[in-house]
Amino acid sequence: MSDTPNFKDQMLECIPSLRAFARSLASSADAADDLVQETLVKAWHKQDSFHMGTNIRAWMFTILRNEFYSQMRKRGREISDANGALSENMAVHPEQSGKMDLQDMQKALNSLPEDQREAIILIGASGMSYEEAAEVCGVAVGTIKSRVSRARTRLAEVLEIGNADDYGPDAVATQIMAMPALSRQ
Amino acid sequence: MFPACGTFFIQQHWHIGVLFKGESVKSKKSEDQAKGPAMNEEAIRRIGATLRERYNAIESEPVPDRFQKLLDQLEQQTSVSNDKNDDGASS
Repeated sequence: MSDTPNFKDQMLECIPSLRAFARSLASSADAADDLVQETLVKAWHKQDSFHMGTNIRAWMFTILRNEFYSQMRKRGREISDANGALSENMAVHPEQSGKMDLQDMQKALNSLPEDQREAIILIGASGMSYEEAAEVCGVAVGTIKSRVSRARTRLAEVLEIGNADDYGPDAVATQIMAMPALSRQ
Repeated sequence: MFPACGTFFIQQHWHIGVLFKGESVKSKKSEDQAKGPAMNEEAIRRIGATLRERYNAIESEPVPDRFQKLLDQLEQQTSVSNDKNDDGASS
């Protein structure tokens, strides 16, 4: 009983990143939040299987991911089809300014196979290590690496920035160079 | 000779560290070789920055009340069922 409040607080801290990860998997923001809700319920009832002091974010991401794929299997390929519809009319043309639009990125992400999408989100966006991402996805570290590599190539193709020699240093590039720490643990 | 090779190697692959934290440079090299020419480093940086911008924007959104309420509810249920199991001896 005594560790219940602590566990709850840790879960609360995970919610923002769970929502961000869910948004990458689910077909809409509402569906993503429903997924987070299911994850919280599942995680709460499984709390005995969580060891305090270990990586709760990876643990909860794993539950969220399992929940997502389990729902997907139940619904047939509905979610995948929704993503397929979104990925029509590719490629996306970047604005003249060279600034990459977030909506374009969302469309480009939706055009990726699920395994590549989750890999690039976990590694490229959430700041997880390859080891953590491999744990979340239940695959080998090398598999995550090759999925990230393929995802990156595909995103560049879709966003038509594979040969972006004509873009000079821009706000986005400057921003990332100025970022002090991309990792969060 | 070896130091020279090392310097060249790092120059060719320094950008990997910018986008992909914690990845060993060595393992990345073999993948790039398998996939042909490495991607333009500017493209890699732009993709990485946009992915993080998008992710961070969602993370920064205020957490809807429903989640706090849900956890409060779950906590309450657990506490009630524990009280029953303990026969009221402790809470």
